[in-house]
Amino acid sequence: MSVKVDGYKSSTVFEQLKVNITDNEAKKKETIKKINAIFEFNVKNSEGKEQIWTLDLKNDGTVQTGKGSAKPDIIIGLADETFVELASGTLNGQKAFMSGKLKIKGNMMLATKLDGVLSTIPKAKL
Amino acid sequence: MAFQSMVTGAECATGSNPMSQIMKQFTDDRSLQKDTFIPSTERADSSSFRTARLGASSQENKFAQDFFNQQEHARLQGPVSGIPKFVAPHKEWLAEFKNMSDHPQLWKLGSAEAGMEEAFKRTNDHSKWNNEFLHGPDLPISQITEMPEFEEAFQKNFDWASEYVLKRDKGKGKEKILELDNLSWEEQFAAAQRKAESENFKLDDDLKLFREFEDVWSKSNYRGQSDDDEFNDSKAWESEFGDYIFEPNNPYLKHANPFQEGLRLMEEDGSLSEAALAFEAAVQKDEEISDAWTWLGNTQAQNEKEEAAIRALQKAVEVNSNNLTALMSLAVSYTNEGCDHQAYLTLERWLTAKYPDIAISNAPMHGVMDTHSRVTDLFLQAARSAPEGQGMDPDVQVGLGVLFYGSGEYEKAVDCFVTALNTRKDDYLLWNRLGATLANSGRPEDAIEAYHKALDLKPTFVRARYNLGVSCLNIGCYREAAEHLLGALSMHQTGLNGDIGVNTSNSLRETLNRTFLMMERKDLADKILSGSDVNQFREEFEF
Repeated sequence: MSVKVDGYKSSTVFEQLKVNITDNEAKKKETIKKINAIFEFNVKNSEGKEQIWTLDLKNDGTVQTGKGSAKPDIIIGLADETFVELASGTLNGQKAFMSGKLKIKGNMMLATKLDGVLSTIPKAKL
Repeated sequence: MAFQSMVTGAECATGSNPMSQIMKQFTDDRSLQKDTFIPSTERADSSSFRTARLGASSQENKFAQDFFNQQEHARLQGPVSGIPKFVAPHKEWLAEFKNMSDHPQLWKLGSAEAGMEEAFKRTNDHSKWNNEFLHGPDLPISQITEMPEFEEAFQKNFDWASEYVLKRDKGKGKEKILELDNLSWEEQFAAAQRKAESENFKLDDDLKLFREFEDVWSKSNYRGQSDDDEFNDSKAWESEFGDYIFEPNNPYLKHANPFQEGLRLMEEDGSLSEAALAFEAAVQKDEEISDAWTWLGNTQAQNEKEEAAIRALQKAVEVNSNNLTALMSLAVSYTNEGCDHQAYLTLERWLTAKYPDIAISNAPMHGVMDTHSRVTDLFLQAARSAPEGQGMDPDVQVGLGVLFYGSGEYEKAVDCFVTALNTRKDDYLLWNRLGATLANSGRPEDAIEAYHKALDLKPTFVRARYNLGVSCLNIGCYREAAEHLLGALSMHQTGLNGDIGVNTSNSLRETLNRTFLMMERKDLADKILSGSDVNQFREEFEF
């Protein structure tokens, strides 16, 4: 099932995350063991619309649009652009958090694992 | 002063909606609201200091008078009909508040005062809200960063409150004014302020949590960046990458002058992998040629083999610590690997080598941010020092570009690279750097244009082709991404040993693998990971 949502640049990132996380069973288990949390992303695009994506890296290892069946451990609210910047690498989660670009609800500590989740997205190099 | 303005605000007690005033205060300084009112409710024995009275004594405190006078003063200005009457025991007081001398009578609790009492209680309810607000789960960062201010204000008010001597005298049924100790209000306040200022911030729970969080974060993510000792000791750091690993079967070892051959290959747009082999042979023959190491490093970086590049460039700098080209390239490579601090320190070395006259500040370096601002400042000084009428040193612009890129200030970084390109229109490295900056700032379409420019100038530029593939992938053009990445990978093949060497590029194959998965072509994805010859993809893809 596709996690693509038109009008969001983040959409392709989630599609990639889905592939990266769910493709390989061994890798999926390793990721779940390492992260062990459910992330809910509340992404706001340039038109001010909000879209939720949920990364379950605790039970099933899934990426989906909308809320998951289980309660998320952390809810991260951010702009579409910010998510793309995080995924593309040079904006790291810490910088984003410090500059107020991430709104976090729930277990803040889990946000520290965000870079680890997103590091599977390839980045442009100088 | 926020407190005064709060209690003297004309609508404070008399406005139809006291909350509106309170809300204003929250936007100005929430902390005062919380701290001023919460302690008063906690003093259970006296319903509030306003109702706690005692006989007027000769030691009446100026502060208390001022305080209440201000309140009364406010009420006088407000639309209140029942103006309470005053005792004015001190001449000082009279002098200060002449406009109130018309009412030199005893304190009375008028209806207005009762109203104020009520409003006061209501604000206590608001303070609960305030409390919730401050400790709420979706606390945005902007508020957390204000905590030190809050803490300071908290200290002030706490001391201030403790200096009241609150007593109660119900004997006459008429409540009277407070008595405080001798010091004037101003003095006490100033003392409390000094005390608060001299103390380090005592972090309240939120702030502690935040610090802890920050700490965990920095430790969990960036190698060495949370440890000052480690990143000040560049030796310890460099060893993380280790020594350069040479290809075992390098035909250029038999070449008479491999360094010249390497330069020729680079000049004539030969294969970067071939050129790298030539430069490897050159440094294997003589380890002390810093330039050969530099060329090797630069070639590997362009060939999308970052770790090999860093190892070679570290060696180039080790042989010649003033090798400007190597230092700049090394800083760029560190940035790509997410080693921000090391990148900044390397840029600092570059600057001090090229501009020895620029004063190095002795500002303490406690972290990446400090280093970044210090080095940025040095580069800005260098940029300003350009002689009148002459253009700026484009390398300084590049350095600034890398610095701004590192701190996520992409627009500034783009400006720097564009400025540098004005004097070096044919620098394909710069075009690629501009492209990468655009890509990472969410402008993949503009980035693609810059990458194409770089590839027009240097068709064998593997990194630009890789970046082009990444941008295509990130905007969802998977087929184009695959073709660019396959093209890049095919350039890694050398005539002799295929592309399977010791210095491989995992990033290319992994990205290609993902691209195929995105295309739902698991067959191709598996093939590429197993190291298949890229030529077998030519049937399906053009590259």
